[in-house]
Amino acid sequence: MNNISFGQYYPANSLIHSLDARFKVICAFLYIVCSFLCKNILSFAALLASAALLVAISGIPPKILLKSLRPIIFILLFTVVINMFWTSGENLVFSWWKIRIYYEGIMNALFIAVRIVVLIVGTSIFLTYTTTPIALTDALESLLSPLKVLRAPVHEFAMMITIALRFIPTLTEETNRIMAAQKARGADFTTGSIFKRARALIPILVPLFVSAFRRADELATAMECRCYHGGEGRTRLNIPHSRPRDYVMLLLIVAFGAGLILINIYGIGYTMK
Amino acid sequence: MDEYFIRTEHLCCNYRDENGREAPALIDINLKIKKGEYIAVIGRNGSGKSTLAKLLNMILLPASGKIYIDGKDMTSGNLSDDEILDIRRRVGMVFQNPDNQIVATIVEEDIAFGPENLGIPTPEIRRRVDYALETVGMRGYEKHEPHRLSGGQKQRIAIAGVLAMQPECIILDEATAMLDPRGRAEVINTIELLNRERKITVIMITHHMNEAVRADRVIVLSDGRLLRDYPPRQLFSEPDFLRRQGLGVPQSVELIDELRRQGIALEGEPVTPEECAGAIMKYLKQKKAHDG
Amino acid sequence: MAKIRLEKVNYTYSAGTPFETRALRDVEFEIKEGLVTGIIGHTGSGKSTMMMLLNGLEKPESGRVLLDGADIWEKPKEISKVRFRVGLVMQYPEYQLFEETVAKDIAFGPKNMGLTEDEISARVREAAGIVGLDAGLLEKSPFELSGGEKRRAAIAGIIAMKPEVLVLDEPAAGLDPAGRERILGTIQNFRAQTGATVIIVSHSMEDMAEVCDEIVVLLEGRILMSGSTREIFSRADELRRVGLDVPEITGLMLRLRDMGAEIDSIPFTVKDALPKLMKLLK
Repeated sequence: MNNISFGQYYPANSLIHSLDARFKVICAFLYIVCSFLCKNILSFAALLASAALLVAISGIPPKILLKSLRPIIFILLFTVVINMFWTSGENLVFSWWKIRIYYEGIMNALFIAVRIVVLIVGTSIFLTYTTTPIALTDALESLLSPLKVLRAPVHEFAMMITIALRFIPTLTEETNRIMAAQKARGADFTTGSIFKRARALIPILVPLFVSAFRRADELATAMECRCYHGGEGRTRLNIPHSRPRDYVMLLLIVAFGAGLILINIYGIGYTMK
Repeated sequence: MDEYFIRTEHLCCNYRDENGREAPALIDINLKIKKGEYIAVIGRNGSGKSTLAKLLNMILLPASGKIYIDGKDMTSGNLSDDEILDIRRRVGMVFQNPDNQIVATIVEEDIAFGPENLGIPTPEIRRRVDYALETVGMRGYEKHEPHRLSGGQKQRIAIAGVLAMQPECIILDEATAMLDPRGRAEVINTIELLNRERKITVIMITHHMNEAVRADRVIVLSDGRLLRDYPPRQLFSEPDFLRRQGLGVPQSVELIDELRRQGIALEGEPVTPEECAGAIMKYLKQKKAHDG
Repeated sequence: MAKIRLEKVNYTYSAGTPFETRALRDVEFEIKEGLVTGIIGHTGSGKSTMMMLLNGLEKPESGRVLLDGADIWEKPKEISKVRFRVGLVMQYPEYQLFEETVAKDIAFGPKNMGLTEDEISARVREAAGIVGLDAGLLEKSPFELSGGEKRRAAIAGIIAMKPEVLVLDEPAAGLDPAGRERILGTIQNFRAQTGATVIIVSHSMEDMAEVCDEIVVLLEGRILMSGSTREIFSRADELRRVGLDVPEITGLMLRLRDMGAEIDSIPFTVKDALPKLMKLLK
């Protein structure tokens, strides 16, 4: 937890790392749209190729990316199985007892698997792996700022996330310290029934909450002393600025989407049901 | 224009205890602090030191009495929000726990926090951040994460954050209490530099008597009352008073006091170990000259 | 007689990551039974790690920690018994208080030891007495106490386990001078009443000179020196060379010696220094 900056940010100097976070949020969104535009073998092949290209230029080791897929492996298998068994079609490939597997089912399952994997890989590359949580928060604040007209507390929300991010390492450390202190008094968190273990957390949670409230209180005073008075009239040290490469990336993705639409219109290869 | 940067008249402040009763935190405080002075405030826990600090930059409001900052009455009750912000800009605060006053996850963004709130244009914020980091000796740490720094470094970042608002006065509320001796030395050296070279008024709330020794004046608070407002030499010439207040006395001062009690007529008012050693040597030499 | 012995103890933080740091290297020393031993060193010198090794909160990577001659990790399942015998008061221990009343909080350790109700309440009263908490405070919420009282209540929570060794990490940090004084008094009181072994970590050399019989100096995870308080502070030059302080009075006396005053042995408390100077000045 204390070793790498929390979150999954992977520090490197790739092209994608250097893009403006606001553009990356938009790119990630458009890329998701693209993955849903795919309907046939050729478009899915193009999608897979684009994902491979993204991985290559992101500078993130594929091994680490694969790790991020681990939590969704169950969902992935589940969707594949459902699609394989429940899609009916014309070309029966295999049948036994009540189970019938059609060619269409296999293709759909394959397509959906590709879509899910690309979705995860694409968004992790654009967002979590190449963008620090704080840059992401700032980008969201900036992108959502039109909502301020509707009196949505966009700045306050972003400030909340920033402070939460700032205090994660502090509170993690504090939790470890309190745990050690209670263990020194013979507390046992690892044995006994679930009920007993839940009770054993009280000596940790109470001091942790008390301390979190104390910290919040002191932080609020410190912020007031540094002239904080909400988002109104605030300027920024680091203003996000876009460069040609940001627009190029955006255009590439839009063009990619347009290409996928064309492939769909001319319908090459097997088309998804 | 007032001759004093900070002036209080009959200042009183109450606080609400845990049972909801009002109790006096400060009683009839009269203070005069000139621009560029280095003031130490000492007193036991709960003597009203932090309350005083928070009154001076309008985090708290007094129950009665007057506070003038640079000649301007802060207690008239009709200050605009901008005027209050201006006071907080001019009178900056550094608190005890470094972890609870750092807002951002990157050093430079934290230092920029004050100027950002004040609506300073971006290029000027950059200039101030660089200057502030330079002043506290932390250039090169711009992109570091604060939670990886040492306590002394964190407090210097906090000082830099105040400095970036271009204050005229910095109040340190036990800012060295949680630091090890190295960290404490880092903070003290930084503060003394700001006072000496940038002429920033310093109000240092502390439990460490050897920090108080270095101030121009030491203010002693006890149960909300101002008991002493003396130069350190004069204050440390009454060690009995300090002991009675539960404030402790530096060992050098204690030694001189004991020697005098046993009839050694040492000259001057030495307070630091160097001065005390000097006074003892002087006596020794005179004695030798007399004897020999 | 050695109460605790460390044999070739090594400890590494975050092993196998880019942040790997060796906290302790081949550390070897003894804590004598019934004495007050101080541990001094810079932040990051390995002091905190050492304290956690002494009561089995951390396990040495290699080497052994012996309590009364027996390896504390011989039966890893019974490590909590070691934690009752070697009581650890961590830094800012008041942040561990959690119960509804001070009495219940002090009772937490004894309860985990599986003692009877009568024994527990007797120990709570006794521990509160040693740290000087009024009986009236025992039924209050720990969060209503003053800073110094909270600290003493937390220390009482460890003392109530009747540890054979009491380990304290910066017990007086952040308190006002009167609060410091009281904590030091508490420690001396505890020792006088129980005869237990005490280990203190502190940055305040004046406090260490006041209460310690023996001192161990750690530098970058190694033992730089250890010996009686007098021996250690008489090596003031070496301590200063590695950036550590000596008590203010010791510094003053060294200065006098350097200025030519005839001082044979360098004192480390004011009480000690006074007769030496009087002999010189009379």
